[in-house]
Amino acid sequence: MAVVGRGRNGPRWGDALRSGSLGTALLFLAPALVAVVILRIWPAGLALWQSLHEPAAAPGFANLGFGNYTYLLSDPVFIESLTTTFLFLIIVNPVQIGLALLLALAMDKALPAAGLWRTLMLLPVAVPQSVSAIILGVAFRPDGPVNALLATIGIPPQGFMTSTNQALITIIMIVSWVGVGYWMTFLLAGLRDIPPILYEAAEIDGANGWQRFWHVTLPQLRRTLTFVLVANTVANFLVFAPVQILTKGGPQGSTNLIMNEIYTRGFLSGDMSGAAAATVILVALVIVVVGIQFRMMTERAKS
Amino acid sequence: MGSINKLQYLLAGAAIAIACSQASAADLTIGFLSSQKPGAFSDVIASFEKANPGIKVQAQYIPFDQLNAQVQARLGSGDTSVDVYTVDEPRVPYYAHRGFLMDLSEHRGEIEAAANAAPIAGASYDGKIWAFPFWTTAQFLFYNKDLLDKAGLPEPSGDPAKRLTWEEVLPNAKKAQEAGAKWGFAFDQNDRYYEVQPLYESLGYGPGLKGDKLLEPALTSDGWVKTTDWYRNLYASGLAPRGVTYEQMPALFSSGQLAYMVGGVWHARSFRNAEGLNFGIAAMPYFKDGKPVTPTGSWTIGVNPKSTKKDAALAFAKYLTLNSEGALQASTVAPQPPANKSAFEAYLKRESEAGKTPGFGEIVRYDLANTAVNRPRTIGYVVFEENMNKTFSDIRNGAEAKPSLERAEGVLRAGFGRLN
Repeated sequence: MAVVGRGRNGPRWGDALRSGSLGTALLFLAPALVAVVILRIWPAGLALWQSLHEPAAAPGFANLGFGNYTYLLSDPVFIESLTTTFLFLIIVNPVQIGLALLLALAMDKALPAAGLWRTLMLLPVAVPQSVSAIILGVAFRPDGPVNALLATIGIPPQGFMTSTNQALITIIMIVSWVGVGYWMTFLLAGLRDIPPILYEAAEIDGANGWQRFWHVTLPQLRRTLTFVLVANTVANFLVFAPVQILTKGGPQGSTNLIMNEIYTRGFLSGDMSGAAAATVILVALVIVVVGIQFRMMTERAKS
Repeated sequence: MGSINKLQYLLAGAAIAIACSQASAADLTIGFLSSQKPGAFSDVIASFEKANPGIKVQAQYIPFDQLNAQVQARLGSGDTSVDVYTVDEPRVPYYAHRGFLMDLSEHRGEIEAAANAAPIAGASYDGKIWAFPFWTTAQFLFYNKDLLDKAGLPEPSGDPAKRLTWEEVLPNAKKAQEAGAKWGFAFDQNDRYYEVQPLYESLGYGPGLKGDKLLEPALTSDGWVKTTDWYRNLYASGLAPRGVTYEQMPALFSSGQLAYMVGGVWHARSFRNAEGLNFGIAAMPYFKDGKPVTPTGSWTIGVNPKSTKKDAALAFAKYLTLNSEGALQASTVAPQPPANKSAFEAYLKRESEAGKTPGFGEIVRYDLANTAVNRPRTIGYVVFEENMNKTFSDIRNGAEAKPSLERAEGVLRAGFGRLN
């Protein structure tokens, strides 16, 4: 959104400078700027510095400094955690955004008891992630209610979080239970912003439902979708609580997402320096992935 | 620039406010971090505060699984709100190596006069004492008399020299299960290295680590794989429950769902109080082809070297460990055997005479003298244990033994390669 808005905001900054209201603007922005510096830039800089310069942070550890990075990139556990994270992202982002869009489209129609449905869908958002992880963890236990439900329709009990093949999918279901409703609200707001006149014009031109969706809804929703895609990607890069509470990265590393790997490294093994280097790698990856997403979304807009 | 100066003032103001709040709180309140149940030390803290006016102890109770992470995060970042904390014996070398423990060499005379030799060894590393010996541990084979009766099974002998072999216990556990017990057998700390290590040691396959500094994993020998398969089969065969955590396991026994359970001696207290539970104790089993081996090693009391209230912290740590009354009182609600010599004797007497567990003292004394094996003492232990517990958890949930152990070896090599 920042990229899209830059052109329009440019002259306003100039006006502000000339009229001397920049100071006022900065004053109002100060709390946010201070928060950004203290909560984002300073810790990120600290992580970078620790990852390169601070043997004192890790007495008892070898290969510090730049060696942190060569060590990490040769550590099979770290590499496996990166591939697990990418596998997770490739599945979870399309699933969440696809479902959120479907639900938003359904909610946009005049359904009976629409308020009730919307409340129900937003309800998981109001539950803290750790609480929902514990509740769903019990549900997905090998002897839990989900298996009992499956048994009534003749499906044999599943391993879920105890199975290497199903644990990651189970984590995806759990984070999506919260995520889908949350991202739906943004998409619904985006849908409400589309002027009805566009649909009327398309209808007069003889467009069917699918054509209206493809040629009106999607292009009009592009900015909202860009935001949802980027914010959702970042959020999913940083998934931690459900993994820590339910699987601790197991079984056999199959759910060892990068945030859990950093936590394990820093706080269980006490390798703060290595954890800082892993954090720097994570931030770099997020920047690259989000950069690619922005580029793809804006290029599509130009074409 | 003007606004940046304002920002600096703001930050300076905030820093002063934080500093002041810390200063005003410095009325000699010391922080005590442990992983016992909330309130476990309330009584002994009250006694200590009565005997030491002017010192208050603020107890911080956290779950066992989070203790290591908290210690690493808080002491590693120089946090001084923890003055005294419980340290598991095998973690002493690593924590000492990382600078998380105060060197207690100058208190050696006092410690040696008060505590038993084995727990002192557990609190030592590199020729120095790094923590006050607090508790020691032993295991019992707890059995449910009613469930055994129902299956027509004899009660195991209470004589530690006549303990059962695994080859005798497991078929009986199966019979008990067939006769109505929900589960036949379980380890209370089902996937913790602490309780599984004796299986390997009983058959002479070693602790899983080798080398001078015990920094080489040795998990994939035939003996290790075979024994791990035996462990895996406890769960795969349905004899022992999957997906039940340590915190939930004793409740399965006290509610009469479990025929036999190998568990820490401290559970005897809550089982005595469990209504309708008719239980007995025997010594922990061993493999027929091996020798009896039982786990030991427990908590020690460490002092944060960065503590700003060292005298008060030391006074409290000594009260819990070297003072025999304090040590006995601290072993009441969380009833693990004290390392303190006279408190140890008083504890065994108290627990043996408390009813339902007459052989308590005899088994604990015998095992500590004859069968107890410590966990490996190495700076790699923290990494080792975190990974072994995960590996046993995977295997319990169905992962194959050999590939899991090979995987664990790879992870440990990478982790140990990082230690200096």
